[in-house]
Amino acid sequence: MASTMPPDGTSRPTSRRDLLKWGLAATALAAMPTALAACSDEDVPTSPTPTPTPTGGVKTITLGVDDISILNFALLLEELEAAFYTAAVASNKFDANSPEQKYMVAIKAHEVAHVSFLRTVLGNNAKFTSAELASTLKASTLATMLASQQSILQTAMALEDTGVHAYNGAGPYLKNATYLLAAGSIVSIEARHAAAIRALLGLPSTEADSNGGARVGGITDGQLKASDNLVKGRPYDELYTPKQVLGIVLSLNVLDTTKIAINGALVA
Amino acid sequence: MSNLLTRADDALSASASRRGFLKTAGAAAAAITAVTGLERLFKPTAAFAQGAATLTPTQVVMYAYALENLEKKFYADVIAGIGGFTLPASIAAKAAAAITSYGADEAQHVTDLRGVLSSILGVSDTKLAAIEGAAANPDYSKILGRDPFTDKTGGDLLLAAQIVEDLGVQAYKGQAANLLAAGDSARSVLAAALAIHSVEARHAAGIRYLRQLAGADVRTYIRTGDTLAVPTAETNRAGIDFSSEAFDGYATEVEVDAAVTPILRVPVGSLIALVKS
Repeated sequence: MASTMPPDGTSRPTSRRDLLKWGLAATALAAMPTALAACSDEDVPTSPTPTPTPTGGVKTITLGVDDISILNFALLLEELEAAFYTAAVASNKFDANSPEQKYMVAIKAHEVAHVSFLRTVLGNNAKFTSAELASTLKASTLATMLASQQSILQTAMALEDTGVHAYNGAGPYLKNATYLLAAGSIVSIEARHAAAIRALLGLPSTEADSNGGARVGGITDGQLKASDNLVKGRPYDELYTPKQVLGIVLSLNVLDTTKIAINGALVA
Repeated sequence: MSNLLTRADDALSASASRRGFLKTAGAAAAAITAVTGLERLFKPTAAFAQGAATLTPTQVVMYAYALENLEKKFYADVIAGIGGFTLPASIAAKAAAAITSYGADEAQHVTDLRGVLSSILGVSDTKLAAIEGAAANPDYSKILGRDPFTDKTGGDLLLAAQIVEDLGVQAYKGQAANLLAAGDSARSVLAAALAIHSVEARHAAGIRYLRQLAGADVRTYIRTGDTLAVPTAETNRAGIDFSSEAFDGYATEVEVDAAVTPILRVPVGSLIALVKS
């Protein structure tokens, strides 16, 4: 890991220096020898810049089954959420004093904070920049998402519910306990967002207990990874695999796949 | 219920906390942090960073089982007594639906955790009965420092539900590291804990939204000044800024134990002592 401080030099208490301690703390754990092994196995780019975009213009993000890749995958979701809510707030589809707009403004701030946090943790291990991802978003899809109050809320619900299943599903893959805590501190915020959006739509806080359709992405019980989903149904937010999550993200059609490719063992 | 009344209510709760376990994440928490500063800031982080598996995976599930039993009993008692309350018309129907739904979720958590404990983890029926007994007759007055069933507007009931659900989120999050440290053998338990954890957050958010609709100054996520069983306003625990709205706090088993043991009826002194006995 590089030891340089980020250029943004924000005043947030969680500094890059603080976060660097995580890796040191984790590797010092006698109780967790796997953390050390995992860190040494990580595919850490030595270049200070993320994976360069090859000629042809396709940004390729390759994700292995390691903590750095999982955090990059989380970053991808958070970037999408941050971009969506930023556009949703700016769309002025809701009255400035409406509960909907107030939640949009607050949730946007939370997602932006998640992006900032993950980028601080990842430092030079981030596999893409915000600008690179932004350049791969489909404006036409975004416009459709922002077309009405209903489409904004429906998109927000899909993103939040997907985020919950995604973080839950990624959790058991993580080796570093502090990364797991960080994921946990984010996933319950996503769940609180999901419940808020659902309430604004007049829907229950939880996803309905059903096979196909009601669960985001239409993932059925039979499609769930059995060993990670001993319990399922309405009282549970099932664990989706990264591959299933990527499938949902791509089905939103907001990423222009002529400009971005996401591959690797994590999502294979 | 007016905004002002609700704020006055919360202020009353804050003062009641000196008798009960309720604390606020704002000024009161700052004062608490000032008193016990270094201890509060570093003890939980140190325990976390050392991966101190103070609870085994089986003990974690027993601990969760006790909390789920408490939640199940609370919602069952609320549902049983709902006819005696006059909730604000703006939320009455929504609240009844939510409470029924969440109560059913908690009951399912209880059923499924019992199955895991009994069939997979080999915990005896005697032990399970002891945990169930501890949650069978809770002292709800220890949640707010007053009986939440006395307020017939339902305001105290919803506030108590919010506090219990927020605590559930903190408690599950606080055990993730213990389960991870146990390795592959605990992976399925960790997965189940994660699947429950975010549903508790949805419940907490749902209750919070009802309170907001009724006029309380509250959001689905935790803000500075919110009433919490375990304050998590301390910044930078484990390198994460838990004073930020964007990051949901956790609680160690010691913190949760201090909050719930007074509510439960535990013959052996504390919930943790019970699950370790």
